[in-house]
Order: sequence, then structure tokens, then C-alpha cells
Amino acid sequence: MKKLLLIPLLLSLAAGPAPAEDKPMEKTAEKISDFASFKAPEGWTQREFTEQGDPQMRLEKGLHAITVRLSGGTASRYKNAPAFLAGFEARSMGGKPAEKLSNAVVSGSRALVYRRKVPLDLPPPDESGPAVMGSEQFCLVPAGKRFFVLSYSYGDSIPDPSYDGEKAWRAFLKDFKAKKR
Amino acid sequence: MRNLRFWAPLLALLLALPAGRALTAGELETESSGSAELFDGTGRYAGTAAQAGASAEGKAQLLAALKSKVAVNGTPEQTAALNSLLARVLDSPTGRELAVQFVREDARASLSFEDIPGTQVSEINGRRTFSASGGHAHTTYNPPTVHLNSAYQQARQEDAPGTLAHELFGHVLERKRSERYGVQDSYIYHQNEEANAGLIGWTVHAELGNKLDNGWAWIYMANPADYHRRLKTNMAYYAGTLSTEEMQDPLSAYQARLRSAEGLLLRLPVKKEQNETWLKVINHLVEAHRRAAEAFRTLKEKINAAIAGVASDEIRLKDIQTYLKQLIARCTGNTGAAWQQQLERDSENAYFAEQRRVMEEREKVLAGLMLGRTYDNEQPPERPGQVTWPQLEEMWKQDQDSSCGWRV
Repeated sequence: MKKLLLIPLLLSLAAGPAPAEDKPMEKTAEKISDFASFKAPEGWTQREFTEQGDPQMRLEKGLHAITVRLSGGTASRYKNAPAFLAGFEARSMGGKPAEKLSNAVVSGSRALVYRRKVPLDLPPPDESGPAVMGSEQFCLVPAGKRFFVLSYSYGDSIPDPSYDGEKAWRAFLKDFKAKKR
Repeated sequence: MRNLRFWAPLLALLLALPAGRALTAGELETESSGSAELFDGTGRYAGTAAQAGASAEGKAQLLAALKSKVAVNGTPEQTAALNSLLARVLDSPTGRELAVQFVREDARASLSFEDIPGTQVSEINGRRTFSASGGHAHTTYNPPTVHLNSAYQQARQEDAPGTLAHELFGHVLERKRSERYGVQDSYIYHQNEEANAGLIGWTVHAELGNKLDNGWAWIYMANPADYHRRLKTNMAYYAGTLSTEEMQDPLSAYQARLRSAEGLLLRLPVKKEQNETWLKVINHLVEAHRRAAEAFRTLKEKINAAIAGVASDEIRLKDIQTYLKQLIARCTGNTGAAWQQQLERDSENAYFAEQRRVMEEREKVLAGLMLGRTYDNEQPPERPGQVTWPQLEEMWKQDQDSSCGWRV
């Protein structure tokens, strides 16, 4: 941890900078809606964004979140599905590969639904201490030379007594269709 | 004497380093004390990290050079322990590489232990530990000061070298580098200031053969954007840090972040109510359906901890809110406009691009270390016979489907 005095920090201004080149942020104009059709569960919000070089859409209701991500494009962190499954985003904290939870038919393809353990609440980064753990479910769906990563998570270790997010997730998977392009 | 006794396990560990490492850190420490003549005596170190890693003499030279830049303070026991830690950091390739840079940048630091408020050493499963800050760096002091938690003398000794590398190289050396690039007043607003220090500490820790059980490291390696997003709701300082792109329009970034913090604050009463609902459900199952109260003990403890956590979440988010409001106010007026222009100009400084390049290299090294040594995340053992969350959810579902008629 870096200890800072916030007032001097706010007041201080630097001398002129040296010229430089910076790596531009990876952006894509692609929209998830051009590649897939699905219905957001009732009462869920949705927003599109780009992260890890992939166009994504995040559906949310409270702490329930379903993410639709189109990976394997030119700017993507992952060239193909095996690369994704070998990476950190398909592993539990500690590095063990995600466990196979169930089978599902998604967009006409048989898909394995995986589950991995993820840290939810953490102490500040300079402190040790156990993380509060939760889980994320995800599956991969082929999309031509690319692939979708569909995932569901609930952002609390204590379940939501008022809403069955996993039921909404299962219904979402049934409804999801990758568009032929 | 007490401190020496507590430090003994680390010294034993240092002396028990595997063969193949030509010299143990403890021996290195001893040898380096008389090896100042191995570098040119003016503080200029002519060796390389590779040379330092290739022989005992090379390591000793580098340690002596590093110690000429780092003033170690404390009691004789403390300075012995801190010197051993400096030597231990040099057992890591990344530690050696950064020590060379520290010396070549002519960076300086004062290093000591500090009693950090709120630290309590406890014993879990026969192992001493503490849950508090491992240390911090005051980079604007002259010389910059690194304080390590004095509890490291009693517990978690294996974590101390990583923390030292994080503070000394991640923060103090980085401050010196930022001065060279002329961005010392703006680099602290960049989100990579902490991420880079994090990477250094995690890498040194892993290179020294330790299991990386810091959740932040796993989040970062999975998705740096997620790491930054989460950090910005973890502490006020991080809420004020910016990406290179956001430095070009800090006011908009702070305004968006303030709305996000306000949204999180609004969720807290919902979180509290949801947890209270589960307590009511459990009480109903025990009182109306004669379920054994003892079987719900673990779940009730978790629920009550979550309810108690809402208050600290509220304090944390209000701190973040206050800091963001200060930053937004700082952006107004002529002074604010000048400050924003400064950040925008500095966002194009080579310092940030170079830091990003180095971080990408370090990420590759760390990925290999983390994936080469995976482990099952340990959770404390549950008490036998306790109802689990899925079981409780099923019990409640059955109760709602039954003729019981009870509702929350």
C-alpha cells in the first residue's frame, strides 16, 4: 500500500511531460446484438461494452449478472475456445480448472456448463485475509470461427431469498441463439 | 531476545534454501557486509541482474550496492531481520532485476518496522498469522520511507519479502522513475501505480516458492479491468485513480464513479434486508417445524457477519463518496482546469506506455508461476451436520409450497 497525503496530492502539479507514444485502448465497433439473439429475463437491465478485446453485453438484476461475450476476434485476448479454457478466466482461485457442472443445449449445440470459484469480497490489497468466495457458471457456444462465452454469477456469498437467478440463467440458455453470418 | 526468537523460523528458512542456489540469503547477508569494495564505492553498481543471479559473489555485490541506498533502522534485532529480508528478496530473479534498477536510478529509502494499528497476531490451525496491512511506503518523504508491519517478526514471515519488494520497488523505485519522466505529480493518479506494485510483490512472492493465495492476484490475472473496477470500490485512494484514457477527461470519470458509489450505497439496505429474511426463515423452520437449531449455527454466523459487514461497507463507500466529491470540486475553476490539462498532457508521457510494457512482460512471468503451481483454494472446515445453503433454499421452497402458509 502506498500511503498518501491527499491534500498535497490534490494541490501538486507537475512540470511538463516528455513526449510519448501510448498504446491505444482496444476497441471494437461490433455489437453483440449483431451476432446473437436472446431475450433478457424480465426486469433485468442490459448494457454493451468492450473488455479484453471482446464485445460484451451484461444483463443485471441486483447482484445477479449474465454476460454474453463474443471472443476469438482479432482484438480478443483468446484466439479460440481451448485458449480460453486454459486461461485464468476458466479457472478457480488457486488455478484449478473449472469443474464440469452440467450439460445444456444452447443454440442447437450441446454445451458443457462449467462452474468455478471466484473471490467476491476481498480485504484491501495490502492486507492478507480470506476472500469471501462465490461461484460463476459459464459455457462456450461456437459462433463460426469465434465463440461465445455465456456466464452467470451472483455477487454475494449469501443467496438471494427473493429471486432465483439460476432459473433465469437456465431459461436464458434455452432462449439464446447465435446468428448465422 | 523476544524478537530474535520470533524471527528464528525465517532465519532457519533462509539457511535451509535448496542446493543449486550457491549461497543462502543468510550467508549472502553475512558476506555482503564486507563486500562494498566489489562495486565502485560511489554507489554506482556496474553489474547486471543476471550476474547477481549467477554466483554468490554477484548476489553479495548487488546486496551491498542495494544496502548503500537503503538505510535500515531499528533495534539490532530488527535491523538484522530487515537485512535478511533484503537478502531474501534478492533470491528472486525479479527482486534482483529491480534491485539493479533501484541502484541505477539512485533511488533511496529508509526501511524500518512499524507497529501498525489494528494488527492482532493470532494462531489458526497452529500457525501464527495477522490480518492487517503488511506495510506501506511514504514516497514523498526524503528519503522515501518504507514501513513493514512489525508483526512480521512474529508471523507470516514468508509474506514479508513480497511485501518489501512491493513497497520498495513497486512504490519507492516507481516514484524515482516518475521523477525522471517528469510525471511525479500525476503518476499517483494512474491506476497502474498500485497494479504494478501488486505484480512486483506477487511475482517475488511466487518466485520465492510461495503459494499465491492473494485473491487480488487471481482477479488481476483473469481480467485487469475487473481488478481495477473492484479496487475503485475498495478504498478511497483507489477510487481516485484513472486509466490512461480517463486521465484525458478526469472529471467525467470521477462523476461516473460517484454515481456508481451512490448506487452501491443504495444497495446496502437491500443486502441487510435479504440477510434478515434468511434469519427469519431459519427461526421459522426451528420454531414451527422443530428443526434442530444447532444445525443452522454456521449459516447464522455467516448471515450475522454479513449484516455486521453492511455497516463497514457503508463507512467505506461514504469515504469513497467524500473523496470523489473532493476530486470533482478540485476539477472546477481555473486551477481545476489547469490540473485536468496537466493530467491530460501527462497521459501521453512515455512513462505510462513504458510502465504498461514492463507490466505485460511481468504478467507473462507471473502467469507461468501461477499456472505452474495450482492448488485447491482452502476454506475453513465446516462443522459436521450443518445445513448448507442449497439445503436451506430447498427447505424454504418446500415450506412455501406446503400448506404451512407462513410468509416472510
